[in-house]
Amino acid sequence: MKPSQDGPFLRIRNVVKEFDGVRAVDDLSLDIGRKELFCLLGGSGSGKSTLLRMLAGFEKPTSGSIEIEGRDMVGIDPADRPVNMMFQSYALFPHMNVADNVAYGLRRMGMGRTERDARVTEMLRLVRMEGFAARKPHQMSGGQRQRVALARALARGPKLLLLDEPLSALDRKLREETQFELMDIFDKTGTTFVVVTHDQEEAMTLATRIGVMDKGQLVQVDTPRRIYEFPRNKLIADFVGNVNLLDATVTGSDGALVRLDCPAMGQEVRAACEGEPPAIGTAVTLAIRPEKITLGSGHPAVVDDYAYRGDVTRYRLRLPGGGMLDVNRPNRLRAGEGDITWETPVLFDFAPEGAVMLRD
Amino acid sequence: MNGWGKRLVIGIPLFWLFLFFLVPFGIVFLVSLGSPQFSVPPYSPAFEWDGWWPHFVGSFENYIFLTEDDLYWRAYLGSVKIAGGSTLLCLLVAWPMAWIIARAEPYRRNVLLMLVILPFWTSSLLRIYALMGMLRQGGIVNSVLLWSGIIDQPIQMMQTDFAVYLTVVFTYLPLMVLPLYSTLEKLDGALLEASADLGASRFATFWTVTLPLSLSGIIAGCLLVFIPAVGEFVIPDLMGAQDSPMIGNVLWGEFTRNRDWPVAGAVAIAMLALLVIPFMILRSSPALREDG
Repeated sequence: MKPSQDGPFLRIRNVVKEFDGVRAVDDLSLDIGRKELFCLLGGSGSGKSTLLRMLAGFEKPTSGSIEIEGRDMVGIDPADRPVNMMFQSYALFPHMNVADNVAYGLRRMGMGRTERDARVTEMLRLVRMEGFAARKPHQMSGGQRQRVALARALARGPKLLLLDEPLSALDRKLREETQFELMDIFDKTGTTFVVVTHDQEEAMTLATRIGVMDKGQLVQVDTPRRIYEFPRNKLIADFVGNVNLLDATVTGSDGALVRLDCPAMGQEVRAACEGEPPAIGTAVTLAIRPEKITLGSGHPAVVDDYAYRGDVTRYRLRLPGGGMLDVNRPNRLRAGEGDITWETPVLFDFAPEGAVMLRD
Repeated sequence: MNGWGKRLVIGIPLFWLFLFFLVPFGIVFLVSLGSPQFSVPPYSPAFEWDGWWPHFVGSFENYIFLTEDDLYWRAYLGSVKIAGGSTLLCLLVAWPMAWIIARAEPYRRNVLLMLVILPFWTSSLLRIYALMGMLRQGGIVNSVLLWSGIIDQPIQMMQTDFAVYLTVVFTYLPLMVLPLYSTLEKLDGALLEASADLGASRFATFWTVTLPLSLSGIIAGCLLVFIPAVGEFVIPDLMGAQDSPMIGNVLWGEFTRNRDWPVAGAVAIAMLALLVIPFMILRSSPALREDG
């Protein structure tokens, strides 16, 4: 088949993968565009790694098709795909130095020595590891190994780069720095990246689009902003960031907003709603992120507990109608603690646009 | 653990080695410097006591003699050839076995390992006799081949190098499989996937990743098979041809039939040197060092 330039770059259609009768990936379809940085986000056992391994060619789909630029990849060996992978464990060859690791894929292509050396130097410069060509993997730190693994995976100039939990082995500080470097490298290479991660912060920072996976299916595919602000259901809202989920009933609509009776709050509230509001009387969930609630005026509550976190203080409020509400208050002043403490009555409020109604 | 405890733990095996390896080695070495005579013990001492001072009366004649009589050279070379050849055969048979065991399901691995070790639970002499029963003129192999019409004359298998190779490989195979298994079992499967991902064929992955990473197991296994195989005495005696003895048989002959203890001692010392030198070369090779 002639590669079509106008269709999606990567086209996954009705892919199913069964292991001993259990569906790890369940009838999943997804299109990914050229030069996208797509994050597959999900907990362990959500099927995200299985999907990645099918893209690499290590697993064969039970049914369905995977096309890259219109060419069917099912049945093509990992070695023959225009795809390379950065492994979670990095999988650097321990008996080879950095230069030989990076050159490994180039040697298999039969690239000549001069060209190969130039490419290795170029790749090591890209990941800022020029001075490490002669090192063995065990002589480097985790962060350095991560860079070498990235250089090795990029050396063959793949059309699609797969990254399996690329930053999970790094400590927090290094992980944050590396996230930005990774995005920088992504911009420079112009390769399509598919990243698998269980870390929502990582996904939000890196991705142009995120696909949230659960039980082998994609439950929402959207930009990071929309995933966070307009989660499709409770599961996604809860998985991505912190959220207060309160039971509510629809009582009417008010323009783009929906009126809800929320027993926990003890009064009617308004919230944003995606699409047509449901019929009056429908049981729904009210979702509010802790940072979207302010203290000082509005609805009454009592402080049940609080935790000082440096940048913010997290208050857990006891609502008059029962139930708890988490509120984040930025610590704008280096004020001493003590104005709000356990059992202090407080007032809280939130903009209706800051809250969102979830159908399930 | 306090200092005394540590010294005791290290000291006991050291003392054991000193008493039962170093001292006998010294005795054998001293014997090898003497000359045979009709007495008890049947050799002249290497030192005589002049008051409190020992003075050397022995000689290295026996070692020179070893180089002059081609019986010894032939036995040495024959031993190295048979031990080396069977080590290589062991490696060729054991590597795929170890690979299959290491890649099997964990619960199956123990069963397969057990099957490898199982023959060790039988006396090696019994196993050799069992092989003799299979290989001799009227044995099982010849009977089956005759009955099926593949041959019309029984094949002479006993008292040949073939029988010796077969028995040595059969006897020492577990010693090759186990170290290979332990290195292959530690081999990270992601490395093989990475190799395939980077465009390597199965063959290229084997040569550039799997084999180099199992080198420490290969070296350990080869040493474990080669060293005892060089000194093997029972197998060539029972299975091999009388005109091509191994060094162990020569040693035995010198001690018993010829009652020439000094020459036997020299043969033993020379054999030890023959084994230690390749070992030292391998030890200093970078492949054995983990930090390479």
